[in-house]
Amino acid sequence: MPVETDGRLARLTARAVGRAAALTAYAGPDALAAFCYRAGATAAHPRTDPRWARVLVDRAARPHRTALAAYRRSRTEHWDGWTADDADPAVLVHKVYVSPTTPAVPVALERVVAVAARLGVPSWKVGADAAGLHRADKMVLYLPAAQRADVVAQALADELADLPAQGVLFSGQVGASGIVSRGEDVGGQSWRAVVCRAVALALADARAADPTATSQQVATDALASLAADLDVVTWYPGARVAA
Amino acid sequence: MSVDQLRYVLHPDVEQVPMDSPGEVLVARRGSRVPPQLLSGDAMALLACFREPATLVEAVLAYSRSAGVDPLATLDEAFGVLVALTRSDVLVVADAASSNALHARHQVGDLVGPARLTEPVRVLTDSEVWRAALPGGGRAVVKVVADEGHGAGLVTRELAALERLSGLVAPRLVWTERTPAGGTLVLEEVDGDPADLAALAADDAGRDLLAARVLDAYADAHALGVLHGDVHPGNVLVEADGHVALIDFGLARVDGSAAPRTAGGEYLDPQAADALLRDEPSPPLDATAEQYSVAVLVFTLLAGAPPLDLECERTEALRRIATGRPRPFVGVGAPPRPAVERALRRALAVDPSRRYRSVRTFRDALTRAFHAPPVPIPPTPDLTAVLGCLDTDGDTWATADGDRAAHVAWLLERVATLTGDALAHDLALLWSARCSHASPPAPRPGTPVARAHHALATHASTGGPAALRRARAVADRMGVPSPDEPVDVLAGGWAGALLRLECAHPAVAAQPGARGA
Repeated sequence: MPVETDGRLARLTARAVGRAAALTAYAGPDALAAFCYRAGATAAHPRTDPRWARVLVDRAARPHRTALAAYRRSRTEHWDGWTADDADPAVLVHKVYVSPTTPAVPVALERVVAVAARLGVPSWKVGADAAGLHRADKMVLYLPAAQRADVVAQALADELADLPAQGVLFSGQVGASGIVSRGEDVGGQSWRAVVCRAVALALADARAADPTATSQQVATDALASLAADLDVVTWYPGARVAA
Repeated sequence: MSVDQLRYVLHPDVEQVPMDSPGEVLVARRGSRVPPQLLSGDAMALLACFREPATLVEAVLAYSRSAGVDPLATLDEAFGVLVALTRSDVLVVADAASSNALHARHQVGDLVGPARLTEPVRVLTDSEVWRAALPGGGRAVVKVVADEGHGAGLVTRELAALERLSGLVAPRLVWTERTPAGGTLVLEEVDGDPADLAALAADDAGRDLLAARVLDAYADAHALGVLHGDVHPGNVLVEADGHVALIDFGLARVDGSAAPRTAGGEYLDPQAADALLRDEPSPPLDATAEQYSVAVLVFTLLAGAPPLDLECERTEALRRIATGRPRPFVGVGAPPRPAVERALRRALAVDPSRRYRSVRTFRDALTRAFHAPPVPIPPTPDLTAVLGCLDTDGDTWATADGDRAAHVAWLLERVATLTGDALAHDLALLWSARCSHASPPAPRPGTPVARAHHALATHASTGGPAALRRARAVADRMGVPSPDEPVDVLAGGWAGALLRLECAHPAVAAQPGARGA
């Protein structure tokens, strides 16, 4: 899988880390992690009909009713999900994020469901409310192996290349626009939750080590301290390229 | 046996959903048409005493003992609730047939007429709806009505309407079988969304087209002598190709035949609402009354919200239907469309003689109004262009104190909410965290910002343009922001720019410092 070392997501993530570094003078690790995790979203208009998200999801799924008959449908407050009857959720840790801008969600959803059904993706979920479709990681597909996740990610990147990207920060960009990216859950925890927590703690440590350092220096020191375990440039899971 | 000797039990199909308020529980009976009821924690504890059969007295005594309260006071306070729960069959007489759990009359794979059942859609105590497959690959819906009291009439009216419409704006009838309690209908499936959901997925032009097609469907039905009698978006299905089909004709009138009226709901016409308020029989449905109901639906499709605010208790809701004027589009967050709103107002007139001659005439007037030129809206300020100076590498970040940070956070949150701008969103997160989510102070009464927000609220409720002009004038006098000017959302250029943005969204305008904005 070609990794975008100078991709849009890498640049957006670097900017978010820089902003979080500036926040270290005012807030602790919890607030820093929350900022990193939520950065890259947009706000839902308060008049958005609460049923809007599920309407889009249902319409995207309708043409694939036959293929989706082999999936269990799950509905929670925040996510609509499909999981193949024979899938083992415990091994589905390799993630593909799909992040179109909100106006492009209806078209993107139809294509994502079509690709997921065609490629037999064992599980995926879509934001089930307005806030869920405004967050960056609004669609997530789960696969049992990195190689298979790469194949699905590339297929989606090709399929969605003409749509505007919002982009999921702290995930590994696939394709040119950043509309598709990769992650990998760790120890049962969400990839982005783990990474954002690690970044927040590193930033807080760097600030504590030198209270007079510039934000730029705090960010640089924090990323350097994480580079042994994470690819702090592309945020591609498993790549571990030093900063 | 007298009431005090009867033993009641909590019905096995009752489902409980805890609410956000501590102790409150929403209670509903699966398969019942009675809406869910909200119970307090105390009422729920009393209801729990009926998990095993008990008389009302036994349950009141048991609850009072455990709660340490006076049984007579409990009986006095809870009597109304207990009566309501028995009427809605949440509490039922033990050992009676009504205490049995709900079971579907059919199961997947059953053959009903020519249709093989594939999936239950809805199982109620008095009816069932199933998806089914037809020989040759077609899809069908199977509707089973088994209501001793009303089923025969419902099916008679449905069959009469479906036969008259013969598949034109309604599903085609494939097969039917009558029973004393109603019967079974096999209909060709309409694979579509309820009209309101279809509107959510459409753009502005798509919503106009949808409204016209809905009106076409009703105009066609009326021309064939069929009044639907049950207008609501769930009964108006929109297929992927835009075709509109009406369903559920159990309350329909064909050529003036008798039919009961619905007993409430936001699609009720003013004359029926007035009759309900007076506890009098509703007047028979006619085409003018149905025009009102269809206009409510069309208003909702176009504006995204109904014409009347009926978020109130039933009597007040009926009063508002009987006397109320529709809200302006701007009041529900939709862009103003004076010509369209005028056409809708006429169809929604309280006085039926002021409505259109027919739904067809209403349709023609409304579609002409669709082509009226839009109201010119002053351009909103491109605040996003100046937001960069509020980033962490700018002077504002370096110099702001806590109070200033609260002003910046408010400004950015409002810009993010009203524009959907991604940079504003991220910077709002950052500044909010920096000021620990503090709000700026609310403007003092009489200050320009307070007066402007008062005018915006007036405009949102009345649609009157003068109030909006007053708010815009205040914003213009405040000027435009410059990167050197400290951010203040109560006065100065930044406040003026934000106010101009709020003027473009009067239904969701928020005065600085307002909670929950």
